[in-house]
Amino acid sequence: MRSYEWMVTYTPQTVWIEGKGVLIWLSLYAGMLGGGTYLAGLYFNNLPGMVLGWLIILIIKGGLHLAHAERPSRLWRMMLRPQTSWISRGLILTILLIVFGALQIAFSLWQRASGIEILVRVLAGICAFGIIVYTGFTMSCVRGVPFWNSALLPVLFLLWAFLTGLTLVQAIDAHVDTRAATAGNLVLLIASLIFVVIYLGIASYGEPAVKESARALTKGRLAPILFIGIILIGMVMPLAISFSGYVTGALSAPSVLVLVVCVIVGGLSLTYAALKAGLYSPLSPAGS
Amino acid sequence: MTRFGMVIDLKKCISCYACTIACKQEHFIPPGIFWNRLLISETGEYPQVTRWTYPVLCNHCGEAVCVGVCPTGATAQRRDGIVTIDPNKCSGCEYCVIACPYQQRTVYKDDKREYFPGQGLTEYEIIGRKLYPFQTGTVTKCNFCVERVDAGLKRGLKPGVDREATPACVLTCPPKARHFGDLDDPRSNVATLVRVRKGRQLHPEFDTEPSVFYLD
Repeated sequence: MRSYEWMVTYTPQTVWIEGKGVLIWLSLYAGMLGGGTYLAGLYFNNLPGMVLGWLIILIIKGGLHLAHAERPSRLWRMMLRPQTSWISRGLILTILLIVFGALQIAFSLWQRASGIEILVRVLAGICAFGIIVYTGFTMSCVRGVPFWNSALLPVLFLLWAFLTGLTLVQAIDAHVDTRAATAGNLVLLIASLIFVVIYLGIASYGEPAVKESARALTKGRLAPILFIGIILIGMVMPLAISFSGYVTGALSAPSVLVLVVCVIVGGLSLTYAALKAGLYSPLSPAGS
Repeated sequence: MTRFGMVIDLKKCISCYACTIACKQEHFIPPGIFWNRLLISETGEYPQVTRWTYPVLCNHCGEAVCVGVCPTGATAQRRDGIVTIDPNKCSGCEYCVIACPYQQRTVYKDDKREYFPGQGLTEYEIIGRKLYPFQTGTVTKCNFCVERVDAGLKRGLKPGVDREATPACVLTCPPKARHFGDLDDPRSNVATLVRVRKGRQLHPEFDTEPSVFYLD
């Protein structure tokens, strides 16, 4: 964008997707990935799944946020405003998940099914759910970027987080009931597809900045990410693999691996497209 | 209650950039960062062309989204409506930069950048770094020359009326297109202009209640 076009035409959001902002994109996705995996592990009572989810949050999400921070020594201050700031809430939830997750994993090894283990498990599960939800709300509460300002965004992210978690747990645990897991995949994939279509449909009839974002996604510079990254790789291919698994009642190891890769690529594409499509409305009448 | 605000008369603005320069001088703003900008654009085709000039700055919104999203409390709103940033608390998360629908916030990242690249810092830059130090990795924006306003108020002066208590951009504007004062005082210059000439805000649909009004 040329400097004289800034806020005169639709101005793309770049802070959270370009340069160092790429780390924010990855950390938002890591939150969905880790939270979803932790919850899936919890649902299937699968300790490796929980550990994996916990590690993703601790190392990948935490590391990416630290790497992005301009002033890491002041990160603790970011917990001070949970009453109004989603970033504060997210940081608190992340720290709580790290603490409760560590306790829960420890109790799972030494005091399995004890009262305290169940309590910590519930608390960690709530935090994991909160981390997924905060990812969507952090973006959807930004009214300045009308494309994000939708209640559907957190739901879409939630569905994708569950889907990714489910496929990852399928990949690391051979004892998971394939038919039940693939049925879950199918439901989540179809629901995600419907949400994406509804989201873009509503955006196409929204205010000018939202329409412009939808146009960029469906016909413009971001169309390859939508059609190839999200729909083909992220939805159609996993649908085909999950459907075959559901019909046959079994999925080969390579199929599960492809499924996981497809869902992760789809999730990365989804968050990238959402961040990249964000536009600010012009301040000058020339852009309206 | 006092609510400081600014009124900009678009019919008087001659796009001279004096406000931008005065703001830079007042706060020793580093290269690449602007607290005051002019958005200049055109609509239509020859011979029916309209040229639009919008001087833009932080709107010091009554319902400032930046204050709400700031996780550290670095961005705060004073009782007189001025939105300030405490650089000692800012963690540089940039959530406020994202949230501001007017895009009036910038992160100061490059303290090596000089006004004349390769020629070292000018006297102005050297003095500025002592008098008005910017911290790298923190967010910065217009503060309605809060230092002048506060110093003036302490001396019993009236911002917008007395020069010593009025923002630099208002003082410097050659055609007097800018006005500053208390929007909550119905007899003030700004409240009268907004009322009589039907001042309007940018993007009122965001419900941010900007304190900067434009007169067409």
